[in-house]
Amino acid sequence: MSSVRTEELTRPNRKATEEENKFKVIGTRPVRPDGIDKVTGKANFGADIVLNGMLYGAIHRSKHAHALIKKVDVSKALKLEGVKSIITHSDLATLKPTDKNSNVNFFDLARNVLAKDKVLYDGHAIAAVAAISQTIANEAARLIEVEYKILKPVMNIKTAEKKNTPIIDKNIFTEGLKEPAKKPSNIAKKVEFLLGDPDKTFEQAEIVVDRKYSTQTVHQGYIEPHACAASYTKDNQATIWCSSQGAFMVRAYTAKLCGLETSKIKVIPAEIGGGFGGKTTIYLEPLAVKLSEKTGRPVKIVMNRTEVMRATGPTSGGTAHVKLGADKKGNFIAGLIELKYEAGAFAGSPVGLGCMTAFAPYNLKHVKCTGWDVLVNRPKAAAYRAPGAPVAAFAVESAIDELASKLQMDPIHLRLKNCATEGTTAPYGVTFDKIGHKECLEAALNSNHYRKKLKPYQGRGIASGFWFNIGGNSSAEIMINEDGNVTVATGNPDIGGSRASMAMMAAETLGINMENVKPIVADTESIPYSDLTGGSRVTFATGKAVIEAAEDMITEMCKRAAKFWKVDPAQVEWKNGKAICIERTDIEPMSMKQIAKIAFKTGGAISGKANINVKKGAGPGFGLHICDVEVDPETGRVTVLKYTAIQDVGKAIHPSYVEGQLQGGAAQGIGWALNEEYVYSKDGNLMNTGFLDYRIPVASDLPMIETILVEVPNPGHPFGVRGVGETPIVPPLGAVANAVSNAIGRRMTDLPLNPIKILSEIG
Amino acid sequence: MNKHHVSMSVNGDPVEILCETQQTLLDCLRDELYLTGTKEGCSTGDCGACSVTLNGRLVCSCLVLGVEANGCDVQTIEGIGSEKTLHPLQKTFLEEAALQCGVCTPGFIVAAKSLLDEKPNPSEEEIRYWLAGNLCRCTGYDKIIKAVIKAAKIMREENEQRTNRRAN
Amino acid sequence: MKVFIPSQIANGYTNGLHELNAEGEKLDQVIRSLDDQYPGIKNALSEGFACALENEIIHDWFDEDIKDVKSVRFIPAIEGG
Repeated sequence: MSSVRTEELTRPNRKATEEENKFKVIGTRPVRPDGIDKVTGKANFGADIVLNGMLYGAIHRSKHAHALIKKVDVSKALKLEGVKSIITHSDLATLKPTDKNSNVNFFDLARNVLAKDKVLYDGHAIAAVAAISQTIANEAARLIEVEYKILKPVMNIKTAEKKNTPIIDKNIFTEGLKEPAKKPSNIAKKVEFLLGDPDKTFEQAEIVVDRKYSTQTVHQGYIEPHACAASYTKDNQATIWCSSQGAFMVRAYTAKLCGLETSKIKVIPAEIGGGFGGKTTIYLEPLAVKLSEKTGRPVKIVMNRTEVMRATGPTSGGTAHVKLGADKKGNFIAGLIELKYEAGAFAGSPVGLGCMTAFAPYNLKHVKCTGWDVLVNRPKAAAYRAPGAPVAAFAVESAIDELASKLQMDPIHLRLKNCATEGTTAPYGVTFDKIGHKECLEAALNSNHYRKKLKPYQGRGIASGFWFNIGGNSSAEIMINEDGNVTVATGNPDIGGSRASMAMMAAETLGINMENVKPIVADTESIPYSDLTGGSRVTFATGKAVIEAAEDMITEMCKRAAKFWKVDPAQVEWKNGKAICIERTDIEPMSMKQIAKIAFKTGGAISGKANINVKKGAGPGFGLHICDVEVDPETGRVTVLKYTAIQDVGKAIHPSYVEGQLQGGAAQGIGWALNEEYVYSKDGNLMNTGFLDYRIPVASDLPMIETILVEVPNPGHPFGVRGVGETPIVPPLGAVANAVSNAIGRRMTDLPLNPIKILSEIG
Repeated sequence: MNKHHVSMSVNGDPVEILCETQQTLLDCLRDELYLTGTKEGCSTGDCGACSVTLNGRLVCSCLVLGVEANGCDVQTIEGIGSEKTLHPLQKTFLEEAALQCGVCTPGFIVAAKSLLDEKPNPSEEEIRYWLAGNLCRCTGYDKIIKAVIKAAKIMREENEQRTNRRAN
Repeated sequence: MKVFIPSQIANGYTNGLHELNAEGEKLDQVIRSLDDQYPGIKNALSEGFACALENEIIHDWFDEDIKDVKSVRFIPAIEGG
């Protein structure tokens, strides 16, 4: 399987020697190609687009969490001078509940971007305005009057599950039950994963830990609010400029919601100011397109932070009940987890992924993971970095920590005893290839951090984490310019330095310097389809496409050299960035500069391409984090003293940006564990809609975050790459909670661990 | 709606704009002068993406009204570094990979420059507290702090060289 | 050849049976054989389910070669953040 792919990648007339296997570019730390624009303020993000004759949009949002819309009166707003158009849900394409594919339910998506008949959460969009200035648009949005019939909001899982509780969506009947559900419910789905016979095996366990955990809704917290501009032309085509994790995703989703053919929309990707999964869906684009269609002018809509918090993201809060059984020596015997995740107001929390990842780092023969997808009157959950995994890992890693202290065993040794290795079958049924969990644990044992002594009120916590990593559809095109330099285009927005890794992989394959490669992110009409930037797939899968495109171009360059030299193409090899005629010392090798010069004579411009669906070989990622905290017994404040993130990264293409992924994921996880949570009033209004009171970690909250890159090459990638972006947010919740629990001698089970909760424990 | 005539100096250039009463300096820079390097992350002064200096003082431009900037000297990210060379902070941010998505970067560079102009040799803790008003969600701050420490060193060395040259 | 299916499909199409039997050297043969036994299951599995073949999770599965595979397991498709 994976080796087959590697073989396919090897150009037929190229013999890999050991010397060639040494990387020249990969593993170095060059300045990223888009760096200068980003440190000088020249890079254009979503909100930076300005179009001639542009109108400004604003959105009227629900102030109720759950209510029927009886009437939307736009008459006052329309009378305001400078207001050009107002749209509501009925202006979108008419969709049915069956309009869905494996990724997305378009009926729900349309009802999320503009409410239909019913508002389902505080901040739910109801109408959108276009006007000649932002001020007028805002004022018009304020003047829209909505008559509601207020319903009781369902704000948490406990209320949602109750009998006779208000039903958020009458079309939801619990899926996955033995007996088909007869009545509508707030529980959208039950999922279950079973390995072996855990119920029976538990009887053999000598030690059992059994505990419940809970977490709150958190937001991805990207610094750039959602923004887009759209221009609709009279031939019924539209162009969209926006920041997103996938221009093709924006195109497909917007087309569906606007009732347009996909090809009638062109999406030009802006720079993206953070997404973390939150920009894998759309909110504004169909509104801008429809307003542009109605007004005949380009329309730009930019959210403010309050809108971002109330109506985008977040990820599910949830509960977990874990039961873990072991023998006296610390061998895990059986594990059970029951997860309940908030989906927000539409079905589709990542609870299935929570179930699949929960015990994945461990070798357990008997496991049952049950998940419940629960509707509540909160914003529709969006993906957030390793969706579903952190909450499940928090619970399981806490349980293992508790087990370690019961056994009086070192928590790393306990994990080493039970860790998944090559050949272990994960609870979701896949048998692992070569993975690096054990290597991460060993690296932790050998780290200086782990040996450092602690003082009173200080505690150390460790936790492991797992993410699948995925492949998927990726396209790359590479061309040699007249001067011999190279441009490489992909369809994946660069969210954290992927231009650098694409250029480096192209340079490595071609045997040239990175400075001679310019990477670009192409729009939807300039490159074939690519899946979005997410799932830790870009460096792996799009990287693979870049390598294949470069190989394709090498084949062509060799052919051209052969033609020029009038020799058989089989006699030409590519080595160190040059075409070489083997067995002919009288022919000087030809550089790319020289090949560029003979391109027109020998047949025209030279390029290479690869449009692939990488179905196999995405090596799973494992990480282990070590966290030291100090708890202030007077205030309950937790200070993170020292933090180390260890991860099997396969092969780090640009180590600095790989370290950055580990550090950023750790910081987000620390925020999740200590501070961040959505706070709702009794009536279901979000109380903390800004960064002042939805407090993400700031520079003074954190220490340096040390990283240890473990490199267990992924056999499924020619350079050994594994995805790295998502795994690092999985361990921190457990690592921080274990550290705090160990510092104060109480098991902390309810995130976030804010001072109030700490004080009430140590009181 | 009546607009106000505002004259100010932006990155050394005299500019005049008409702005609405409630328009912030951030809006004026971005929407009237098309200086979009200054970003809006929150519009409540919590994220620092809109950091500029106003008469030499570091401010969140989203908390300053356009009319308040009348007669003031405003420095934005676009005015940092010369036409041909990068400022040491811009260089070290690139060398240290202190940015991922890059949307907070202009604010960090403006804020860090303001610190280093005032305090050439800050401790790690001082840097962390000075930059506590600038949010970054990608990096965990580690590489940003390292970039600022490195830039401070370069700037001190440059200063020393300049002083030595003058003394000679 | 053993085929494992998720509970929500099992409850809808196989009367709760998770572990099914089907023959074939290619995945699409196996799926067709399942669909003959349990009409509609092919379409149901085509929406939102990936296919785990021993050490790989395959999205957009089609006619994968499964000669050397002991079991086929359908799992929810994996989305990333």
